[in-house]
Amino acid sequence: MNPTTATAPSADRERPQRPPEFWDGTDHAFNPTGPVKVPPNLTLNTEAETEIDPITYEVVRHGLWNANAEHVREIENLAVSQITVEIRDFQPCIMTEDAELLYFGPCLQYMSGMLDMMTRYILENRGERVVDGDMWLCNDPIIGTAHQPDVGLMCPVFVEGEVFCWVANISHQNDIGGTVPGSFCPNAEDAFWDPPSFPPFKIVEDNQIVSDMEALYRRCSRTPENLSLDLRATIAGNNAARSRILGLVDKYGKAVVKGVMRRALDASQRAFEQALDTIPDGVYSDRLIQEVSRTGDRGTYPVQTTVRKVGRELIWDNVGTHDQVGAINVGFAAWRGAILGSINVLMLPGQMGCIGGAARLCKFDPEPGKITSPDWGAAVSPAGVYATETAVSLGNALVSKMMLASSDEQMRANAVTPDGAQWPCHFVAGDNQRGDYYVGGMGDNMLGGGSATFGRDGEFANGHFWIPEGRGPNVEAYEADWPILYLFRREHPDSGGAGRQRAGNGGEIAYVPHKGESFLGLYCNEGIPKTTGLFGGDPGSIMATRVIQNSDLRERFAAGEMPQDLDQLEGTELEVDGKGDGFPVTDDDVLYWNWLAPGGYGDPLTRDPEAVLTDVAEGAVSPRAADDLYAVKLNEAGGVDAEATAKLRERRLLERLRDCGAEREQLAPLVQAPAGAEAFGDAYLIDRDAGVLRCHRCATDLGPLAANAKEKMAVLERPLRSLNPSHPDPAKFVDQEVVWRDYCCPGCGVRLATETAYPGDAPFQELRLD
Amino acid sequence: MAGLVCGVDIGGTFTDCVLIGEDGRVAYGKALSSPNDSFQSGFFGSIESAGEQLGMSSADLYTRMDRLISHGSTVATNIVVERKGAAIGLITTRGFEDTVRTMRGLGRPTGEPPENLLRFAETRKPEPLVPIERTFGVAERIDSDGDVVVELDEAAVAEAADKLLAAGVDTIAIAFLWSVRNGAHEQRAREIVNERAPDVFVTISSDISKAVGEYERFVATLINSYVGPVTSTYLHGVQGRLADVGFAGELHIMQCHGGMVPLGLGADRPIFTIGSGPVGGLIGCARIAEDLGRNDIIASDMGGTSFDVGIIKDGEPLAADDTLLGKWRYRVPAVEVISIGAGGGSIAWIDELGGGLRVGPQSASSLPGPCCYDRGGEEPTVTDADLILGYIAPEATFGSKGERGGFQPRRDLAEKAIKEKVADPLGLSLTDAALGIVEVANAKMANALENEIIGRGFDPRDFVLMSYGGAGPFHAAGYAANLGVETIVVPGEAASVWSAFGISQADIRYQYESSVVLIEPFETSEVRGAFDGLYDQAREALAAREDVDAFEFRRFARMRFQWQRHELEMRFPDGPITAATLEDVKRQFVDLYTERYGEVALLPGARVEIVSIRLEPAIVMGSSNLDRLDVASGEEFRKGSREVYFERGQGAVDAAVYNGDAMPLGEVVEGPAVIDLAITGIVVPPGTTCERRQTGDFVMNLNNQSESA
Repeated sequence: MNPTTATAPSADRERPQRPPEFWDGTDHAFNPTGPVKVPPNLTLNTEAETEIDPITYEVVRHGLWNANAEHVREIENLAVSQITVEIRDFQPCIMTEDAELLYFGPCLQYMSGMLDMMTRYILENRGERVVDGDMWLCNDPIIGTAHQPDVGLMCPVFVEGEVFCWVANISHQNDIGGTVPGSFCPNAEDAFWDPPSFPPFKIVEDNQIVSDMEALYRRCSRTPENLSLDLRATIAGNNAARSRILGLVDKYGKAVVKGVMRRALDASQRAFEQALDTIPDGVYSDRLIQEVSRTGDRGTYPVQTTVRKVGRELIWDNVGTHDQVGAINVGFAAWRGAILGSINVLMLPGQMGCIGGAARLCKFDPEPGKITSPDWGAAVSPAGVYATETAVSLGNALVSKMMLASSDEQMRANAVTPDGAQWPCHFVAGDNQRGDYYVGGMGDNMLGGGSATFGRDGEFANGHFWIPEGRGPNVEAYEADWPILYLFRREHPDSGGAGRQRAGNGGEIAYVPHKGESFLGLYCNEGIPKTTGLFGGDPGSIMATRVIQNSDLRERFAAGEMPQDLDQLEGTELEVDGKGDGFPVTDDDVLYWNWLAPGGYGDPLTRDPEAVLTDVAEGAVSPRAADDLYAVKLNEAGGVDAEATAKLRERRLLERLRDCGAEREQLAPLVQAPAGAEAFGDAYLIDRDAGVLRCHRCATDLGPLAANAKEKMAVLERPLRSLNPSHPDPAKFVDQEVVWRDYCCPGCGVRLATETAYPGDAPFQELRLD
Repeated sequence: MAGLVCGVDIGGTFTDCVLIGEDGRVAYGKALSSPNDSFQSGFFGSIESAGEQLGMSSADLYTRMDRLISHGSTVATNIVVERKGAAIGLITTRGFEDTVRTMRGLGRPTGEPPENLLRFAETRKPEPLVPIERTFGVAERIDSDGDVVVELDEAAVAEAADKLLAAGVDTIAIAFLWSVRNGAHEQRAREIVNERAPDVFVTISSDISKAVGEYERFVATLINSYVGPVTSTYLHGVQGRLADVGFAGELHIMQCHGGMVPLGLGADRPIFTIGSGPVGGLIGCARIAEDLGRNDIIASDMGGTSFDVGIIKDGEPLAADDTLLGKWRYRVPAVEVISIGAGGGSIAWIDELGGGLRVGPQSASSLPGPCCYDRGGEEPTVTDADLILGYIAPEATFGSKGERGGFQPRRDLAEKAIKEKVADPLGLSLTDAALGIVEVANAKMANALENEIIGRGFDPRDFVLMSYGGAGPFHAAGYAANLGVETIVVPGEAASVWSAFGISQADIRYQYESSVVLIEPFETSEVRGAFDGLYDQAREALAAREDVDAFEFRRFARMRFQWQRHELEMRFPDGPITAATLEDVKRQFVDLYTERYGEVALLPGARVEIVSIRLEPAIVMGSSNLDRLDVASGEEFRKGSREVYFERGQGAVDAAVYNGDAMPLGEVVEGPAVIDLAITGIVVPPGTTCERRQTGDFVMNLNNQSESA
């Protein structure tokens, strides 16, 4: 399929109207609208006290929040999957009787949009059989997961024969089947290569595990015992939360507890309304270009998210996203969850995970059959590596852009640059040093890079906003269970997106199989950067895997060396595909991969030169990048030569304009923006009087507010490789040419926007004010 | 017991001493802490002031002293919190120089209250304990079996040491991967550093922690280095002067794992003194509970800015998985003390969106403190509410002589703040607003406690609650009721020197630990061999200074189901290890697991794994027949009554007021009442009773006033 060349905001396009029943969770994603529909035999408890004094309200509210915190704790204590326990890839929640998200833990955030979908599906499609003492298991991406390894367990909480509320959790399982150990299957052509997808079924009846259903559930897993132990952990978690809630009901009465739930949700709605009131109406959009849909493919695929803000409503769509293809798809619920998770953490951190009220103001209006809302049959199992992160990164970008346009200073300060749009990792499997079968999904990525904000740099290994309590693994923990030996795990210099505020670097690791058998099932490589910067910041880093086969590492070890540079090793470097087939690796093969850093904020040429000097001294930025990207000149004493730097930067900006075909004699002078002026960060001024957008630095007119400002900017189109000399030629992975574009103010030359694009495409419109 | 027993607790402001006489009489001493002379004058001043109470001259005092235990928890803790530690150099495995800086990606949220966890852009990682330019990687590598993969590059160690010394570091930390399985490289590296700089304080990670998981072990190593030089100086200074004044024994140091060790074996591991103060308090609790015949205790210490909780189960304080100090999480053998950010200084505010009354996590801390302290605080706090409700005696004096000369709380300031910031906006009366603040604060504390207790698989209703700390006994009945606890114990007049009292009751105890991989089916010889290794280590270390035969050797194992990350600690039965012993321990593990997490959590057939073993040589010291009390005889303990508030909307109750210090032993008072104590007061709600026991402690019975948690 040809790449899209459409440029008009998706929100304006003609779209087919689809009846609500279209979104059925069978052939198409489950995307219900309107009130929950339940069968007549099932009664939802809706009696809610409205007059609750402020003290009782707070005591009960905190008790509900605490019930969820206990749920987190229980799973941490009992679960066994390394991905669940070591890096906290799980999430518990409490929902109202009709599946509104009340409380949601500080674990994996995009799971927010999954649990309520699955629960609602159960109410609407299994309602006749919803009874007290049961729990429902579901991992079906067409209903409510990102991919099959995410297993949800939903538990109705009954009071006096009525559904009072729900507790539920979702946790990532080490292996649930599929073609590749670890259940991320990049070779999947469709859902039938993926692990099995289970629509909701009862795994617990009358508080007992249903043994035949458990046997069915375990059957496809390479590590069935892990599955069973995790199932028990998640059952115990639901039991703990249910028992806490019932304790509150006993003590305060069901109407009061329900009243508190309603009021907390209404408060979260009001918090979101207040936030939205500070943000101008308009259309905010972002796009990245995904590559290689599955093993052997060489295509490229745009992925786009757009939000239209109209007063106190946000309408989200995925128009412009490529049709579902290969294995780079993700369940719609995770796309939705990625957006809600960004709102939860970035815009509403004070609500402590009470996200249901905000969700009321979001309308999700996807096109079906696309990468981010595929119809049944699409392969999604590797979503946690590819498509979920694209959804997170784009959701992050749009939420941050809106926040940067806010009139509220704190809101602007809390916006963060987009986090990595992919989740690199390796999955190794085989028999470990003790002869036990293992599946090793490496979660070093959880250490994170560090998103920048409008006012400050990001930091290396500062986690990920969308997993606030995500925890990077210890090397020793992995080496104890898996037959591998690390050579290094360290900061990856120059990986954080450059910018006026630069992102914190990501990291890199090298390891060697050691004393066991290892098969490299999943690995990552790419040529096109996908993590965008904000308002002229450079993109984040790209994923790389290297494998040096038959290396002389063991001889080096014997000689007392601890090699740190793969280029210095003897051996054969394997040509590694982006999503290639797995292969066995031996004790002489050295493997390398990196984890991603976020994008930067603002033009690197406007960065404080002294900060660059510190970056270089700390090894975070190389001298080359200090020169190429930041144009900082040092004096003989090793300090910043301010005058020479200023001159060099001016020259670079003028050269840039000349290269864009917008040559000027001299740069437009800087103009102090009026205090309190409406603006996007410090990139664009919103001049309502003149009806135009302006450059924040020099006030150059960038065209009408409703137009695409990029069309008025000076643009430079260049090869992707020019971004970083260490990046591979994308032609190694894909056939279609993809270019990088710098969009600069035609007055002062400062870069205000960037994009990846197909040559000849019109500029992608990312902002439009209504 | 033959001689005098003395426990000293050096705090941030005061140094406290508890002296137990040959006849079991107990005396307390207090002096200002003295950081300027390495804490010496405070240390000796506190002992001598206690000695005076027993009518002993200082000459007599030291020569008759059998045992002297000290700790410097606050000294070491404050060094870390105030970031005033030594300049550290780190030598580590090449390729892992960034390990400590990564903080496992959790540097931002670690140590933050739950309210801040989602505040991604508003919370930060801390400055690293050691800058990257003073971190050197050297070639060496050991694998998870303890096998050497790459020999130690000794020349590189020497070069790194030279560079660090030239850079002026005070102390060097050495932390290599897998040193817990094979410490040879670390030990050799230490020798190399010592050869070049014999006086520099050197810490190796395998000496500090035997836990698998490099981040937490490396942090422990760095913190030990960070606090090492100052702590070492003061401990050796004290020991030197003790010898001069005639103390013939060896100073013992309280450890965070709950035992004490002689200075000679503890001075190079000052990290083990961190948190030993609260642990001392826990041991004191365990002793009192023993008297009461109760083995399961929730110990809660509520002060102005923190609420510390410890759990004693079956008479033993629970072991901590990790220790949290500020933004740093590390792993050493330690008793669990969980600190929750709540206290008398917690600020009440209104959540405008939900209309709820919230308390904390913001705190007025010690400066400005609650409004009633009249130090400029304008936000209403829990302590302000306590004053208005009559819990705090209007004539109470806050602070002690050394601290601004003591002052009385100003009710008018408390009233103004609560009225303007809480009562008026919510349309509540002043006292209902104050009750609301207390109710919310109590609920939050109860929830936090419940989380800790139920999170470990226990039922809080099985526990006795011990409450101490300046703000604790005002609230104990409130948060105990929320938990379903029936009995509350407030220590008697020892409360103000509680940690020192606990320390005086500690056993001599060492810990030898080893991380292992032992998976079912267990090989008896392997398990036995692993413990034998620890016995050998222990004997070798102890033989030089102790009578090894005097020790009782206790064995423990941390066990889990294979692949799990969370372990349960199991006591190994004494005697030879046989197949039957192992079967027995395994069965106990499965029973305990089922008890804690329920039948449903159990997977038949899952294999059990032992991940670490520990040997504890101990000499039990506990003092019996304590006569801990000199009741202020002659003073009238009935003080009349004052207006006290218990229930919203119910108005004031004319509650009896007692002087706790003068209350006769065996006396029982009925609520509503308040028992005023020197630094706190016990609120006895209607329907409950409070008895003063023969030990001087107060025991409150909620008489089924409690509600199910």
